[in-house]
Amino acid sequence: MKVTIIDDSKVMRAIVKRTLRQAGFNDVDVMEACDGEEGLQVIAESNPDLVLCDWNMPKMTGMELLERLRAEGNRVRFGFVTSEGSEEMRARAREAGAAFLIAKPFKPEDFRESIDKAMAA
Amino acid sequence: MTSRVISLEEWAVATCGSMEDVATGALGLADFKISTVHQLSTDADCGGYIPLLTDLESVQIGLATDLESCRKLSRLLLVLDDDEPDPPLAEVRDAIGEIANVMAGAIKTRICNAREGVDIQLGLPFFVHGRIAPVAGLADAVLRFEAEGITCDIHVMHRPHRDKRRAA
Repeated sequence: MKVTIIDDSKVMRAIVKRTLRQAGFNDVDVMEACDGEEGLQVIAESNPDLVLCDWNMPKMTGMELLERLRAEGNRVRFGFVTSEGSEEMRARAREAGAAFLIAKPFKPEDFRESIDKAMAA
Repeated sequence: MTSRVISLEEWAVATCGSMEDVATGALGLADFKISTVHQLSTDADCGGYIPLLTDLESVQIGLATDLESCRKLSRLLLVLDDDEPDPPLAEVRDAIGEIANVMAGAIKTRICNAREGVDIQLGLPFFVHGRIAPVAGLADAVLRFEAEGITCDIHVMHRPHRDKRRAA
Protein backbone atom coordinates (compact mmCIF):
# COMPACT_ATOMS: atom_id res chain seq x y z
CA MET A 1 0.00 0.00 0.00
CA LYS A 2 1.28 3.47 -0.87
CA VAL A 3 0.49 6.16 1.71
CA THR A 4 1.19 9.88 1.53
CA ILE A 5 1.50 11.62 4.91
CA ILE A 6 1.03 15.39 4.84
CA ASP A 7 1.77 17.42 7.96
CA ASP A 8 3.80 20.56 8.56
CA SER A 9 5.33 18.94 11.65
CA LYS A 10 8.19 16.56 10.88
CA VAL A 11 7.75 15.06 14.34
CA MET A 12 4.07 14.36 13.70
CA ARG A 13 4.87 12.75 10.33
CA ALA A 14 7.27 10.43 12.16
CA ILE A 15 4.60 9.64 14.76
CA VAL A 16 1.99 8.90 12.09
CA LYS A 17 4.47 6.62 10.30
CA ARG A 18 5.26 4.81 13.55
CA THR A 19 1.56 4.46 14.38
CA LEU A 20 0.89 2.92 10.96
CA ARG A 21 3.45 0.22 11.80
CA GLN A 22 2.03 -0.26 15.30
CA ALA A 23 -1.40 -0.68 13.72
CA GLY A 24 -0.04 -3.58 11.70
CA PHE A 25 0.51 -1.80 8.37
CA ASN A 26 4.07 -3.05 7.98
CA ASP A 27 4.20 -3.28 4.23
CA VAL A 28 3.58 0.39 3.54
CA ASP A 29 5.45 2.62 1.15
CA VAL A 30 5.33 6.08 2.75
CA MET A 31 5.82 9.41 1.00
CA GLU A 32 5.77 12.69 2.91
CA ALA A 33 4.86 16.31 2.27
CA CYS A 34 5.01 19.30 4.60
CA ASP A 35 1.94 21.25 3.40
CA GLY A 36 -0.98 21.06 1.01
CA GLU A 37 0.89 22.51 -1.94
CA GLU A 38 3.70 19.99 -1.69
CA GLY A 39 1.09 17.32 -0.99
CA LEU A 40 -0.62 18.00 -4.33
CA GLN A 41 2.67 17.49 -6.11
CA VAL A 42 3.57 14.30 -4.22
CA ILE A 43 0.09 12.83 -4.81
CA ALA A 44 0.28 13.60 -8.53
CA GLU A 45 3.71 11.98 -8.80
CA SER A 46 3.12 8.89 -6.66
CA ASN A 47 -0.59 8.09 -7.08
CA PRO A 48 -1.01 6.79 -3.48
CA ASP A 49 -3.70 4.39 -2.23
CA LEU A 50 -4.32 6.56 0.81
CA VAL A 51 -3.60 10.12 1.95
CA LEU A 52 -3.26 10.88 5.67
CA CYS A 53 -3.40 14.65 6.05
CA ASP A 54 -3.28 17.25 8.80
CA TRP A 55 -6.00 19.92 8.68
CA ASN A 56 -4.31 23.05 9.92
CA MET A 57 -1.22 23.80 7.83
CA PRO A 58 0.45 26.86 6.31
CA LYS A 59 0.14 27.67 2.57
CA MET A 60 -2.73 25.25 1.86
CA THR A 61 -4.89 23.59 4.53
CA GLY A 62 -5.85 19.93 4.43
CA MET A 63 -9.42 20.89 3.54
CA GLU A 64 -8.27 23.10 0.66
CA LEU A 65 -6.11 20.23 -0.58
CA LEU A 66 -9.00 17.76 -0.44
CA GLU A 67 -11.34 20.16 -2.25
CA ARG A 68 -8.72 20.74 -4.92
CA LEU A 69 -8.18 17.00 -5.42
CA ARG A 70 -11.90 16.34 -5.76
CA ALA A 71 -12.36 19.31 -8.11
CA GLU A 72 -9.65 17.81 -10.33
CA GLY A 73 -11.46 14.46 -10.29
CA ASN A 74 -8.93 12.71 -8.05
CA ARG A 75 -10.84 10.16 -5.90
CA VAL A 76 -7.89 8.99 -3.78
CA ARG A 77 -8.91 7.70 -0.32
CA PHE A 78 -8.32 10.59 2.02
CA GLY A 79 -8.29 10.74 5.84
CA PHE A 80 -7.59 13.61 8.17
CA VAL A 81 -5.22 13.12 11.12
CA THR A 82 -5.72 16.32 13.03
CA SER A 83 -5.84 17.92 16.44
CA GLU A 84 -9.43 19.08 15.88
CA GLY A 85 -12.04 16.39 16.39
CA SER A 86 -15.31 18.25 16.94
CA GLU A 87 -18.52 16.97 15.36
CA GLU A 88 -18.62 20.01 13.10
CA MET A 89 -15.14 19.24 11.72
CA ARG A 90 -16.06 15.60 11.19
CA ALA A 91 -19.19 16.62 9.29
CA ARG A 92 -17.21 19.07 7.13
CA ALA A 93 -14.63 16.37 6.41
CA ARG A 94 -17.32 13.87 5.38
CA GLU A 95 -19.08 16.39 3.15
CA ALA A 96 -15.82 17.20 1.38
CA GLY A 97 -15.21 13.53 0.65
CA ALA A 98 -12.87 12.39 3.43
CA ALA A 99 -13.21 8.76 4.47
CA PHE A 100 -12.40 9.48 8.11
CA LEU A 101 -11.03 11.94 10.64
CA ILE A 102 -8.68 10.69 13.34
CA ALA A 103 -8.22 13.18 16.18
CA LYS A 104 -4.89 13.58 17.99
CA PRO A 105 -3.92 12.12 20.39
CA PHE A 106 -4.65 8.82 18.66
CA LYS A 107 -4.02 5.12 19.22
CA PRO A 108 -2.90 2.44 16.71
CA GLU A 109 -6.40 0.91 16.96
CA ASP A 110 -7.88 4.19 15.64
CA PHE A 111 -5.67 3.84 12.56
CA ARG A 112 -6.48 0.15 12.09
CA GLU A 113 -10.23 0.66 12.29
CA SER A 114 -10.41 3.79 10.11
CA ILE A 115 -7.98 2.63 7.43
CA ASP A 116 -9.47 -0.87 7.17
CA LYS A 117 -12.92 0.64 6.62
CA ALA A 118 -11.64 3.14 4.08
CA MET A 119 -9.71 0.55 2.09
CA ALA A 120 -12.70 -1.82 2.05
CA ALA A 121 -15.09 0.84 0.75
CA MET B 1 -21.55 32.69 15.56
CA THR B 2 -20.44 32.51 19.18
CA SER B 3 -23.17 34.02 21.35
CA ARG B 4 -21.22 35.03 24.44
CA VAL B 5 -17.70 35.30 25.74
CA ILE B 6 -16.25 32.12 27.20
CA SER B 7 -14.83 32.98 30.63
CA LEU B 8 -11.18 32.57 31.55
CA GLU B 9 -12.26 29.96 34.08
CA GLU B 10 -13.98 27.88 31.37
CA TRP B 11 -10.88 28.07 29.18
CA ALA B 12 -8.72 27.03 32.16
CA VAL B 13 -10.98 24.07 33.02
CA ALA B 14 -10.95 22.90 29.38
CA THR B 15 -7.18 23.38 29.27
CA CYS B 16 -6.69 21.27 32.40
CA GLY B 17 -8.83 18.44 30.99
CA SER B 18 -7.05 18.65 27.66
CA MET B 19 -3.62 18.46 29.29
CA GLU B 20 -4.79 15.32 31.07
CA ASP B 21 -5.81 13.87 27.67
CA VAL B 22 -2.44 14.79 26.16
CA ALA B 23 -0.51 13.42 29.14
CA THR B 24 -2.24 10.04 29.11
CA GLY B 25 -2.59 9.85 25.32
CA ALA B 26 0.20 11.46 23.32
CA LEU B 27 2.77 11.40 26.14
CA GLY B 28 1.83 8.00 27.60
CA LEU B 29 2.06 9.18 31.21
CA ALA B 30 0.16 7.50 34.03
CA ASP B 31 1.56 9.53 36.90
CA PHE B 32 1.41 13.32 36.70
CA LYS B 33 0.06 16.28 38.63
CA ILE B 34 -1.71 19.43 37.44
CA SER B 35 -2.24 22.26 39.92
CA THR B 36 -3.25 25.90 39.77
CA VAL B 37 -0.47 28.37 40.57
CA HIS B 38 -0.47 32.16 40.74
CA GLN B 39 2.40 32.96 38.41
CA LEU B 40 4.79 31.45 35.91
CA SER B 41 7.89 29.73 37.24
CA THR B 42 10.98 31.92 36.93
CA ASP B 43 12.66 28.90 35.29
CA ALA B 44 10.27 29.04 32.35
CA ASP B 45 12.44 30.51 29.63
CA CYS B 46 11.11 28.88 26.48
CA GLY B 47 8.02 27.07 25.25
CA GLY B 48 5.35 26.42 22.66
CA TYR B 49 2.35 28.67 22.06
CA ILE B 50 -0.79 28.53 19.96
CA PRO B 51 -3.59 31.08 19.46
CA LEU B 52 -7.31 30.26 19.55
CA LEU B 53 -9.87 32.74 18.29
CA THR B 54 -13.60 33.12 18.47
CA ASP B 55 -15.40 36.13 17.04
CA LEU B 56 -15.62 37.50 20.60
CA GLU B 57 -12.23 36.76 22.12
CA SER B 58 -8.60 35.78 21.64
CA VAL B 59 -6.82 33.16 23.71
CA GLN B 60 -3.17 32.21 23.72
CA ILE B 61 -2.26 28.84 25.21
CA GLY B 62 1.39 28.44 26.15
CA LEU B 63 3.54 25.61 27.42
CA ALA B 64 6.10 27.69 29.32
CA THR B 65 8.99 25.63 30.56
CA ASP B 66 12.78 25.20 30.34
CA LEU B 67 14.82 23.51 27.65
CA GLU B 68 15.48 20.39 29.73
CA SER B 69 11.75 19.82 30.24
CA CYS B 70 11.19 20.50 26.51
CA ARG B 71 13.68 17.73 25.74
CA LYS B 72 11.96 15.34 28.16
CA LEU B 73 8.52 16.15 26.73
CA SER B 74 9.76 15.63 23.17
CA ARG B 75 11.29 12.27 24.15
CA LEU B 76 7.92 11.21 25.54
CA LEU B 77 6.06 12.34 22.40
CA LEU B 78 8.53 10.52 20.17
CA VAL B 79 8.55 7.43 22.45
CA LEU B 80 12.35 7.34 22.55
CA ASP B 81 14.08 4.57 24.52
CA ASP B 82 16.49 5.47 27.32
CA ASP B 83 19.50 4.53 25.19
CA GLU B 84 18.43 6.76 22.29
CA PRO B 85 19.95 10.25 22.09
CA ASP B 86 17.91 13.42 22.51
CA PRO B 87 16.37 14.68 19.26
CA PRO B 88 18.02 17.72 17.68
CA LEU B 89 16.81 21.12 18.89
CA ALA B 90 14.72 21.70 15.73
CA GLU B 91 12.77 18.52 16.47
CA VAL B 92 12.43 19.47 20.14
CA ARG B 93 10.87 22.80 19.07
CA ASP B 94 8.65 21.01 16.55
CA ALA B 95 7.53 18.49 19.22
CA ILE B 96 6.67 21.18 21.77
CA GLY B 97 4.66 23.05 19.12
CA GLU B 98 2.87 19.81 18.27
CA ILE B 99 2.02 19.17 21.94
CA ALA B 100 0.57 22.70 22.09
CA ASN B 101 -1.33 22.00 18.87
CA VAL B 102 -2.82 18.72 20.14
CA MET B 103 -3.76 20.40 23.40
CA ALA B 104 -5.45 23.29 21.58
CA GLY B 105 -7.43 20.85 19.46
CA ALA B 106 -8.59 19.04 22.58
CA ILE B 107 -9.58 22.37 24.18
CA LYS B 108 -11.60 23.28 21.09
CA THR B 109 -13.33 19.91 21.09
CA ARG B 110 -14.17 20.14 24.81
CA ILE B 111 -15.60 23.64 24.54
CA CYS B 112 -17.49 23.01 21.28
CA ASN B 113 -18.99 19.80 22.68
CA ALA B 114 -20.08 21.59 25.86
CA ARG B 115 -21.58 24.69 24.19
CA GLU B 116 -23.75 25.01 21.15
CA GLY B 117 -22.83 27.43 18.40
CA VAL B 118 -19.25 28.11 19.42
CA ASP B 119 -16.86 28.65 16.54
CA ILE B 120 -13.19 28.43 17.56
CA GLN B 121 -10.40 28.88 15.02
CA LEU B 122 -6.95 27.48 15.79
CA GLY B 123 -3.82 29.28 14.71
CA LEU B 124 -0.50 27.61 13.99
CA PRO B 125 1.77 26.66 16.91
CA PHE B 126 5.13 28.36 17.39
CA PHE B 127 8.12 28.02 19.68
CA VAL B 128 9.74 30.88 21.55
CA HIS B 129 13.01 31.26 23.40
CA GLY B 130 11.90 33.49 26.25
CA ARG B 131 8.32 33.84 27.34
CA ILE B 132 5.17 35.68 26.33
CA ALA B 133 4.09 38.10 29.04
CA PRO B 134 0.48 39.18 29.44
CA VAL B 135 -0.17 42.76 28.32
CA ALA B 136 -2.78 45.21 29.62
CA GLY B 137 -6.36 44.02 29.21
CA LEU B 138 -5.34 40.39 29.12
CA ALA B 139 -6.40 38.08 31.95
CA ASP B 140 -4.39 34.95 32.57
CA ALA B 141 -4.32 31.69 34.51
CA VAL B 142 -1.44 29.31 35.09
CA LEU B 143 -1.64 25.54 35.54
CA ARG B 144 1.50 23.70 36.61
CA PHE B 145 2.09 20.29 35.04
CA GLU B 146 4.60 18.04 36.80
CA ALA B 147 5.73 14.53 35.81
CA GLU B 148 8.96 12.54 35.60
CA GLY B 149 11.27 15.48 36.29
CA ILE B 150 9.28 17.75 33.98
CA THR B 151 7.85 21.04 35.19
CA CYS B 152 5.77 22.89 32.62
CA ASP B 153 3.50 25.86 33.22
CA ILE B 154 0.43 25.93 31.02
CA HIS B 155 -0.31 29.60 30.49
CA VAL B 156 -3.84 30.57 29.46
CA MET B 157 -4.03 34.20 28.31
CA HIS B 158 -7.48 35.54 27.52
CA ARG B 159 -8.70 38.78 26.02
CA PRO B 160 -12.30 39.47 25.02
CA HIS B 161 -12.49 41.72 21.96
CA ARG B 162 -13.17 45.17 23.31
CA ASP B 163 -15.99 46.19 20.96
CA LYS B 164 -17.88 42.91 21.28
CA ARG B 165 -17.53 42.21 25.02
CA ARG B 166 -20.66 40.83 26.62
CA ALA B 167 -21.46 39.50 30.05
CA ALA B 168 -20.41 35.85 30.40
